[in-house]
Amino acid sequence: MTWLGEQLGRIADEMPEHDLAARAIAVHQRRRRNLVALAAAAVVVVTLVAVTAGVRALPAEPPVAASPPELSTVRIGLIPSVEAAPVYLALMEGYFQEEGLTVEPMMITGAAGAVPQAETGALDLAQTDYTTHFRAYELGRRDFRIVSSLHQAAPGSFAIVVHPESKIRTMADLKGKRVAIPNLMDRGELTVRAALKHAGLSRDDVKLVEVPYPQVAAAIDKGKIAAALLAEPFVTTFQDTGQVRVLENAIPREFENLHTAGIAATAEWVREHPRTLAAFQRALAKAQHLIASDPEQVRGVVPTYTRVERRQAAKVTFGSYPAEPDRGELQRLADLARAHGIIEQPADLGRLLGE
Amino acid sequence: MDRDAGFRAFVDAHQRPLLRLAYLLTGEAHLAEDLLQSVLVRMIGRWPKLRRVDNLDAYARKTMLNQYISWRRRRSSGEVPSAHPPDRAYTPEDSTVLRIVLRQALMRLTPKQRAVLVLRFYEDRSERDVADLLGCSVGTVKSQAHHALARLRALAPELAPRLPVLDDDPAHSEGARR
Repeated sequence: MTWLGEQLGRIADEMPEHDLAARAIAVHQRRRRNLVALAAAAVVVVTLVAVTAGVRALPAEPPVAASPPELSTVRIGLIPSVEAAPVYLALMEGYFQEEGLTVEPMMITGAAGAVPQAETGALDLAQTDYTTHFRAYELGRRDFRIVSSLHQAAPGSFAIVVHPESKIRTMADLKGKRVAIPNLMDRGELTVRAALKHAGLSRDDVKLVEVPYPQVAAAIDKGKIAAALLAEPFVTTFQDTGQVRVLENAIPREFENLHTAGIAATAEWVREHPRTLAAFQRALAKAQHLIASDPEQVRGVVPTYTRVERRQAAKVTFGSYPAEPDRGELQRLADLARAHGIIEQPADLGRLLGE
Repeated sequence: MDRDAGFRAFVDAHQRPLLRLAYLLTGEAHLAEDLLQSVLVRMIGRWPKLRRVDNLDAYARKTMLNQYISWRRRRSSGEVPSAHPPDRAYTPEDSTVLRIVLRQALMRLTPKQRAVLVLRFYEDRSERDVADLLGCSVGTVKSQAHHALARLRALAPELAPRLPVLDDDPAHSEGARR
């Protein structure tokens, strides 16, 4: 495929998916009902107008809540993996609605893609792998704040995968091969660099390329890449369909329980929308508490925003969903990012966390 | 209901590629949904008749393209792209930035040029196929593709080296490298 075709594909990846059939059927039925109702209504209107002849009582204004959020609609960029589950759970449970917010999830292919979209205001909030924002900070894009935590990994939440019939058995076999991550210089790259180092290789011993999680199976199948870093639920689904095999013991131990996802916004957005942010955080925390008391909720919600079947969802591995960013854990992540050359300076966590 | 079940099965099987196409055409998630939604509502209204159509996917695509081109003509506003490339320094590995530039440039093409590019290069269809879908001649597809690529090169010179060169493009008959 041409570069143009490939890039168009990547742009198309941003399109979130909804079930349009149900909505089309509903619209169609409503129109049919309306047609019948219209005829009846015409009769009623004529009668009513004659009877009430100018008598009109205006209903009282509905009471306004003490101080509603500044924004009624919040657009959030999310990567469709298990990491984003609390946001979708809060949507499903109506927690955002209770706070007077309409939250619109927009699919992003990686945290890096959402950085410019947040800067221009196309997105209000965006999922981050933290690493991307450590690096953005170092590149001079300092106006970001980490406002919520989403996911802390558990062993198995991420995996490095290859073609089921591939001869690759260990990380060392990847020498000279093409390895995919969602975005270059993100936490995926950090993880792959560490895994390579563990196997006695360096970043330059492989060719790193960008492939979003949903397209990994196809890319491996076509031989475009030899291996890829995958997040759940893709690890489970692609294994289930026989499209990939997990490279055992590839990911170093200290990466298995990292805080892998949070939510970021620009500092300006945070300053201008304190009530919106607080309302969002309250609703999200409520979903995270629900998961903490009943982790199975995650299996219920994942099939609503990914292509995972319920049957497969039962096998998906996920970590925990802490509501607050953990400074100690972020420091550990930043230190790893620095040790593996993703960032050069120590990260300014105080500023990123808005302390 | 049988009618709904058949329709639902069709949408399940085809909505993803159709939505992606709609998104590339409109450049905006809500517009894309609106566009496909209007096509689907139209289709369910005629579902009993449509059963006799062989290739429903092509039918949906044609309807959508048709609607998109006339729709954009009716309310062609100075379309504002949703993201701007950062003016700060960026590393060449930032493929994201090139993508934003491409996206922005695409939004400035005419609806038909955009449709031709997306069908030719994203859906990888032949000129003949594209002509059928758009209800125009192969010659029109060729000239539209040529104008569209020339305009992209003019709008975003940094993309020029990465854009395809058409085989039978009179301006580039040498060194075609698609």
